[in-house]
Amino acid sequence: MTGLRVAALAAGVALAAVLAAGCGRKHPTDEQFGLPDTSAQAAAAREQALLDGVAAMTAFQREQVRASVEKSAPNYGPARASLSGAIARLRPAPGKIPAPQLEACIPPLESALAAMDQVIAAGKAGDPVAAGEGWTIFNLSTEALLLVLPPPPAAADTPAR
Amino acid sequence: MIRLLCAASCLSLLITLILPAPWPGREARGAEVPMPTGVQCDGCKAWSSDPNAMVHRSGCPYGGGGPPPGRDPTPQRPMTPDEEANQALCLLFPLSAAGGVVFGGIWHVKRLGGGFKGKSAIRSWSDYITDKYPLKDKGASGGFWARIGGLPFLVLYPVTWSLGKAGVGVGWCAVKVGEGSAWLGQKIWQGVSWPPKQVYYAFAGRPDEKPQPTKRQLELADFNFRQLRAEEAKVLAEAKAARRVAAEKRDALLDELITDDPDLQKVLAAEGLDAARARATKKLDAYLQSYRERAKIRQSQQELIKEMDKTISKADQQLFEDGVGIVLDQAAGRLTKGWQDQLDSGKLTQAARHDLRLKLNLAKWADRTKTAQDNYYDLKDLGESVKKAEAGDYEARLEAHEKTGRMLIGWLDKVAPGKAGTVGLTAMDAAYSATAHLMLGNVASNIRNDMARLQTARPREDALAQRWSTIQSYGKFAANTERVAGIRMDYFTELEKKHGTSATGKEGSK
Repeated sequence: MTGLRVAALAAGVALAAVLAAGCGRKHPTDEQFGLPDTSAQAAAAREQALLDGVAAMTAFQREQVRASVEKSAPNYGPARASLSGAIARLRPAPGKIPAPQLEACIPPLESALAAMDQVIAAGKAGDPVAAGEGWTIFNLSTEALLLVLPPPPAAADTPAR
Repeated sequence: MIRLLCAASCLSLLITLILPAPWPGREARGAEVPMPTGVQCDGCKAWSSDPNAMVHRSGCPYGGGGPPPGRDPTPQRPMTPDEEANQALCLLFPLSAAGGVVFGGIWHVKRLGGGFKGKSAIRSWSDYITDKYPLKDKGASGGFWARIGGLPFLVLYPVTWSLGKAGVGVGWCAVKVGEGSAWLGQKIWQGVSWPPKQVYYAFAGRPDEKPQPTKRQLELADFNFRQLRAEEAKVLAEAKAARRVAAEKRDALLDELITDDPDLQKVLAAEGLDAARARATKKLDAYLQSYRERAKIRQSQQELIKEMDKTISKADQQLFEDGVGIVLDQAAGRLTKGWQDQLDSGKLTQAARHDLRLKLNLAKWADRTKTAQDNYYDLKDLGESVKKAEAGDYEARLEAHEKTGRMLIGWLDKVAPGKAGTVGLTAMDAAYSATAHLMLGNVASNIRNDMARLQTARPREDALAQRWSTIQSYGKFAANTERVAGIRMDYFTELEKKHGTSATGKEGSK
């Protein structure tokens, strides 16, 4: 009888310990918790998004020069849409933790997008000074992006001068 | 057999005596002397039971022109009332009875559905049938048979009414019993299952409880936010430096204006530097406002070009060479080490440090890529074009203007990321290369625009106005960048602290 009591007591203590630990509780997956995807594919996708963003900025400037040379109205819409899409791909999804990789590139790209909007609006309003200010901010965004980007590694194949 | 025949005779006699006549014409048929009702026309001897509906024969002085076309003349002998009653009976009996059945059924359904409120069942039945079969229009026989047809539904109504009431009551009782049983069962189940459920919740957590992250996840998040905060700290430092650069450039322009302007010199001598700078600021604002208004009015760059004095100013050329020099200097490999030494000395202003860092970044990139060498030649060609234009006339400069534009387009096309990728760069190197090209492209493009823009009737004031506008944009950009970086820094710091604390407090978790 005493043995039975001891056994029951031990079982009770063990059960209480298990309950206290809460080891049966489910934990969220990394994705549910919002941790950023650190796979090589995700990193490559973010790099490609950055590249697309820079390409959109280049296209924006190219369109301005083209319109000026050909004396026609510039069409900044595609470049703006492309930059906007690139920023959306760089940003973390809602509820997700941002990834450190290239996160610092987002503000310069966003300010470039705001500058694009100013240039487009000034063009519609016929205010060349405001458009010039927009271009200045666009140039400054480019500079800021250049300073934020990690510089290329040391020269391995320095070209002959 | 005889008994059976006797019984049948007695029964038929009894029925004949007891039962009333089922149709009105039966009494008349059994009368000894037929007594036709109605009137006879004195002129043509035509008979009719209704004087108003009499149809006279042709030529009758009372009836006009005879019967209507297509209608037979009135028969020589009028039908007796008995015959008329028989005919009406034969025609109306089946139709009226069938109609009575149909409308009786409709009345029954309507009545059970709650229709005919405020009327008794018999009254509503009578009114409904009378409405469908008025005695006056259809004749007594028709109305009678319609009522006979609908009568079963009137008889049936008390039965169905009672059954309906009973059914509703039974249904209500059944529903209530069911509800009560369900409630009781639920309470019993809750009471029985409460203890094991609490044990399960203690073990696996409540269903509405947010899943708790593991210690590893919290540590990863903490690490992530620490990195983000460190990155943002650098960006914030850059932004603060950029704001100081903008302030320095602003002060430098104001001082330059004060140095060149005798009136401002007087203010400087009399009231000090701050007052002179304030006066210079007002002056530059006025220049900018004037330039802005004139530019709005003119709208087109071409009209601005027509205003110009037909030479490219020394200032424009210097501006261009400054931009081109970024690549020319590094491509020649002359100043890179000198820039780094200057940067390391720590004696430079913020503005100079900023420019040197940009140049060094570009130099590092240009050392690595073949495209930088190509750009060197492009920019050199661009510089030659502008120099040729400087010595030429208006048309030559316009040509140079267009040529530089097309060259710039080709250059930007060449640095498209896809093409940059063909020289063996990684995606990040390509992005860096494209950004560097874009920055140089901006410089060249601005110079090209200035070539056209600066040639105005008031070149000095307009040049100052443009520089003032640019410097103000610098300040605006730097302030905004600092604000955004500050917000992001606070956000990352807060989340780092939150996840760090959680991770420390979760030592028991897996």
